Amino acid sequence: MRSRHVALFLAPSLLLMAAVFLVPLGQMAATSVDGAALSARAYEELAASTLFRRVLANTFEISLGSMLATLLLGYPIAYHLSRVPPARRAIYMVMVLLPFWTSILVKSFAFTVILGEQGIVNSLLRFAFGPTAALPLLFNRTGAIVGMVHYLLPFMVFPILVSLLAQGSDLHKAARVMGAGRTRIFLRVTLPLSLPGVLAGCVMTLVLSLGSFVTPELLGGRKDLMMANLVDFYTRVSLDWGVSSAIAVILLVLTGMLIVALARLPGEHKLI
Amino acid sequence: MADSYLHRSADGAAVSRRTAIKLGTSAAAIALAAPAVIIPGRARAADKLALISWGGGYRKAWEEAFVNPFVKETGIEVVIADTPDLAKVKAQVTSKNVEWDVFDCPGSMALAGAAEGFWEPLDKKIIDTSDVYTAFGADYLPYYMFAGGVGWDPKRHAPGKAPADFVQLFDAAKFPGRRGLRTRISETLDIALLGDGVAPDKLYPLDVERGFKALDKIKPHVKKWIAETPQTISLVQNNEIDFSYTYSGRVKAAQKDGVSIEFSWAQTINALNYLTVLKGSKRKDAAMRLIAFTLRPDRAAAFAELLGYTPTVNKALPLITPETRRWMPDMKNPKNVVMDDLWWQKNYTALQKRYSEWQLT
Amino acid sequence: MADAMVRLERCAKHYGAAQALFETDLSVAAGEFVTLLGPSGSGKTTILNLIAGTVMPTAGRVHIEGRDVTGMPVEKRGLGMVFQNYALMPHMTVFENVAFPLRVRRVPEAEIRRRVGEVLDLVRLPGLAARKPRQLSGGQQQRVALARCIVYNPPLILMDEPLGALDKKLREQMQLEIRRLHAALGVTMIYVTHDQEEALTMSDRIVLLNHGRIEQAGTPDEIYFRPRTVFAAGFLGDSSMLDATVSASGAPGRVTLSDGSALAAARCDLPAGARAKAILRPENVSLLRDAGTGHDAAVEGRLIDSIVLGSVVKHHVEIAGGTVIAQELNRRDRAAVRPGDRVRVGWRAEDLLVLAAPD
Repeated sequence: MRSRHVALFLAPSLLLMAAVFLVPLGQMAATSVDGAALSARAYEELAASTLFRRVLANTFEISLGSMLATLLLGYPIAYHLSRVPPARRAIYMVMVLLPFWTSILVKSFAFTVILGEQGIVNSLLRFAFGPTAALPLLFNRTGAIVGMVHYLLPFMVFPILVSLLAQGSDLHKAARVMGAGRTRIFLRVTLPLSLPGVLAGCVMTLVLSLGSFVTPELLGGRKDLMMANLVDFYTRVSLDWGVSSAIAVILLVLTGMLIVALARLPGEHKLI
Repeated sequence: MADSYLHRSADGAAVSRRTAIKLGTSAAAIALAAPAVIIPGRARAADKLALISWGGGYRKAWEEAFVNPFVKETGIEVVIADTPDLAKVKAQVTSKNVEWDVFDCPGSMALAGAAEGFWEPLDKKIIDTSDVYTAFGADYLPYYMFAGGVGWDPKRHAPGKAPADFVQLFDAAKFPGRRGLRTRISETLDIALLGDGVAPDKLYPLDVERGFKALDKIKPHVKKWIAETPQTISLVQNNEIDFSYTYSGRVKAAQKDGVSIEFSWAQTINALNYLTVLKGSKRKDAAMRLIAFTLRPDRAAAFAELLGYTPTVNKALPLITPETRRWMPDMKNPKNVVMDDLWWQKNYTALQKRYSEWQLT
Repeated sequence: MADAMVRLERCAKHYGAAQALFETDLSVAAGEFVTLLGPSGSGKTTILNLIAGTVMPTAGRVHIEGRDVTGMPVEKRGLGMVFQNYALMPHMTVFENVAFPLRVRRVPEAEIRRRVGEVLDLVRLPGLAARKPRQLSGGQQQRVALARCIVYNPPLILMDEPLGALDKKLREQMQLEIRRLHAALGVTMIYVTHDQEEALTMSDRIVLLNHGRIEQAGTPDEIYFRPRTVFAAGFLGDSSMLDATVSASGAPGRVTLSDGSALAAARCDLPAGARAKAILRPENVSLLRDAGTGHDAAVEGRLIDSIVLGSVVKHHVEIAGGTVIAQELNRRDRAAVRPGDRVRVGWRAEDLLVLAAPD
């Protein structure tokens, strides 16, 4: 297909993309500099604000932490799923998706029952180790990350699973016939070939968690304020849309930079 | 045949199919994520008054006490939509594309909106405000009052062992226990000052520094700073906190559901809820009529019966049954306070920022 | 045989209710090139997997080089295997792919380089060591797969339809390549395919399988010229098959076709009265243009169609009792015949096979 034919076929979706995505983004960027005035007031205010800096650091800490935790938990799950027969795999996949479909308010109640001071985990700990043995698992950074991981898991498991399934069982068979043991096959064949899926999963979970705020609000502590909370405040309460746009623009730019850096990691398959 | 064309991407003369697929898929994905919103024409139903309020039991009470009788009497249809959002009001008013008519909101929103000129002045010819006993402004009308106070589980703490007023709530030595306070500075700062010993009639203007010092003192005893109101009940229910700052209406509803929770009437901070009309509303007269309707004593009393909030018109008060009266604060109690919306309107933004920062440290 | 390279002793495999392989005995001598031939589901891949160790028999034992390896895991068997889709590691270079089994065996680096170089020369792919599999053609990838097998000198190489993904010309080339390697290395090769031409070209011995059982095992000549069952006759080469009843057993024998006409056979081992199939290979049936010599039987028929297959032409002729295919060389000056013409077909009695009709 010649280039201009491709362009013609893609034109409708590109136009749609421009209309519903690029134009509002452009308007938002314009709002952040106060329209034609091109004033840096909003950005100056943010640069001087300790609140903003703290929240920015918070947001990246929580997001990167959630991404790593999701990776550590999600890879073994995806690996196991790739090795069970398709019928069972379908059932397990539904189980992985279930938390995704539950409302966050319901989930926060459930998590309180499990992780709270009087919850199942701590009750078991007290039963095993005495009345003082209790872990603060809720309303702090741990609680926030647990809640986030619970939501983000499908976004990590599925790309990795797809990548693992695409590998084809003949590769493993060939490696075994050649005498390779399980560990060597995993480290030299399975893992390297699954890296594109890992990367995709990491990018998705990172982007999703950077923009979130309800989960940390419900399950985290007072120190777990996210950028999205700030945007919400400036948009709905203080009605200073210049600053809220500026925050959004900054978040967008930083996220974009992070994704490009991740996608260009030296390796076999680059996403970009 | 097609494949041989597609593999010529090396010389740049043709676009590889993979690139085309990538572009197409990303375009589709981005369109799905698009933030632009197109408002359906359905919302502009002609002659239907658009009331913006809250959902659930609140909405049911509105329908029963106000909307249904209003429609029966005037024939004006009313559509109730969810949730009051000042940013959306700003968007509509500034773009002169006003879809909403009547706006039900707490004081912070009403006053902030008034400062920005979002509301129509109340039409005194249609709305008779002579019986309203609280203060109000030219373009916002208070139509009920709600009470905030201490909530706790009577099964875990017998009366006397749980804080009854704000002084006791902020006294962790005499009343040890895990507290739940709000992430919103309004109401929190007020009760902190009351808790620190400020006399209720001398509360406003708030002594901000003293208030923050009081918050510093109670900080280590607060287990959860609550952002979503349902948690003010559920965390007590789950025994994650012992005492929370909550609302009488929520406690009443929770008790009906069988939750073991009590509300202390020894001291409450009371805030007003307002009705406003958006500037540029296409159905201004009908909107004013609906607002006037809510001030009718029998209607205000009916609404109070359903939700337990206090009407702002004197003539409605005697019409309220004793069981419901139990759920209303005694406004003659000198410890009770009515929140000063005007003061908060001037100071909310700056103080909320400061509070958020305070929370992070 | 005590010194067989591979021996399956009464091996069977079933998956639930489905029997993939019925009790089978099989021996492969060292250095042999044996082809397991059959349609899908015949059990040929099952046998290969039993030998490789990726599948455990539900009955019987597997012996390799005299040792009972039935319980031994795949990675300890020290065999080589080539797959239809090459199974090359896409993220490794050709060099890394071929070096893989040597690294598993902890061969020192210098020696790895030497042996990989040698084996790439052997499969005629010098200079491609730094490429990735996706940069190679199908034929080249399969050669890398072969190199990867050969480099660690396994005593036995298993091949699972390795040329199935290649086009016809390339397949024929690779068949010769594999034969050449076999001759050069002397390694035992067990080859699975459903392509009977391939089997006939490459094998020392063919094992023909059908529905989980060995139909017939023997040299290509044996199976081609002396098939023992109708299936074998039909699977290898073309056959015309006519329904017949044995009228006289022995050598010579005679069969009667459905229309009553009798045909002589050089030999018939079935008893008189038995239902049979009379089988003729097209290359043994001639379209008689004149009285001609060299044939014992001549039958009248009508030409249905003539199909040109490059170097030969196959004429489908309807005779009383069935359809017979006659084959002649495609010469430009051959006399033309048209569909519908009355023609005569003939063959030699010793070319008529009589085999038991399948129930």
